[in-house]
Amino acid sequence: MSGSEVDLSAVNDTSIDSGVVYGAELLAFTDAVMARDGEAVAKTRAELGAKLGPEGVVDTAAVITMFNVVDRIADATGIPIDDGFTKDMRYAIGNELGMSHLTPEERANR
Amino acid sequence: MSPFQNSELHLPIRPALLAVHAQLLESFTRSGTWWTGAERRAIALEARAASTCGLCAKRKAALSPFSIEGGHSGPGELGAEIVDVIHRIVTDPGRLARSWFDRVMAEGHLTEEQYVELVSVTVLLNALDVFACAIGSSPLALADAQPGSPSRVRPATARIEGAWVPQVPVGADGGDDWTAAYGDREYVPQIGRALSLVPAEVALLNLTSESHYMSIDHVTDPGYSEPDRALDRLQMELVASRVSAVNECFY
Repeated sequence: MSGSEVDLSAVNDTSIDSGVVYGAELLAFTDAVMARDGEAVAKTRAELGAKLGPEGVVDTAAVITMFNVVDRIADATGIPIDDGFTKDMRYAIGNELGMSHLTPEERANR
Repeated sequence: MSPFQNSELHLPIRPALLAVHAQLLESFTRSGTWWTGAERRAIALEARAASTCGLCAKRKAALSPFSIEGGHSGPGELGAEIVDVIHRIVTDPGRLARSWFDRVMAEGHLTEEQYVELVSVTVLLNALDVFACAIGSSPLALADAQPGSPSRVRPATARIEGAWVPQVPVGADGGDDWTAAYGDREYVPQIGRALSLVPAEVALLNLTSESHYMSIDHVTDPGYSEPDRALDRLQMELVASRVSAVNECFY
């Protein structure tokens, strides 16, 4: 992924071009699934499928699924951010978006 | 054959995904570590009902989710306090707080072990329903509960290490408990250890991660991508970050 130019603000504003290949279609499908809006899911799934193929739709559905697991487990068990995670790409994204402002101690005791 | 009723779409669901979905579905009706099969099934059905619960929708829209009283919509096979925990985890996880967790534990309706297993069943059932929604399928039906008793085995080394719930300590401190759950790994991210008070649920989480995203061994390597995926890592992380943003979760 090194050398890729991405605009992280697209994560919070889908009108912005993320710079990720088919990023707009990925985000539109993700939002539709998260809203459980059947009509929007069907429309955005077709648009994503036209770009990434049916395998791409399935794998996007899988990632959406997994992070609904990860987020809920993290929130329901109060796990702290581990040191290794600070090097992870998503931590950097979250940090830029102001989502990771808690220290491990603050997180555990919020 | 796919259990998902999406024959009109003909989506090529990878065999690894189908296998894990079948395992998860079966696990919801089988006796677990601290809950019977009937109880796990009841937790799963309550988790399914939460996404259309009127009270949860009102709470989600409220400034404080604890300011709105009322009854949840759902099967109601479990005690009201347990139902409330399940619904909050499904519908408003970003506003769960340490003070809420402490209150739940102090009320005495759940042990720490039961709570961790409940979290697992709740989030994994919700995961199957999210996937079904994404591919345009109806939610998968649950079979009848299987007979049997919970094993009630608690890892002897589990202790509080920063999370709200006890966890198996890393490496030598975790001894056989660590080896049983994580083999010879020297490091596992917190998310992989969150359910370690109930090791059987760690195994289900690992299977889910490997098939839907990647093995926990590779999560912190931003250059890694599973070879059989149609998305590159950057695309996966964009989707993951958007999901976490919607869920208001730092992960």
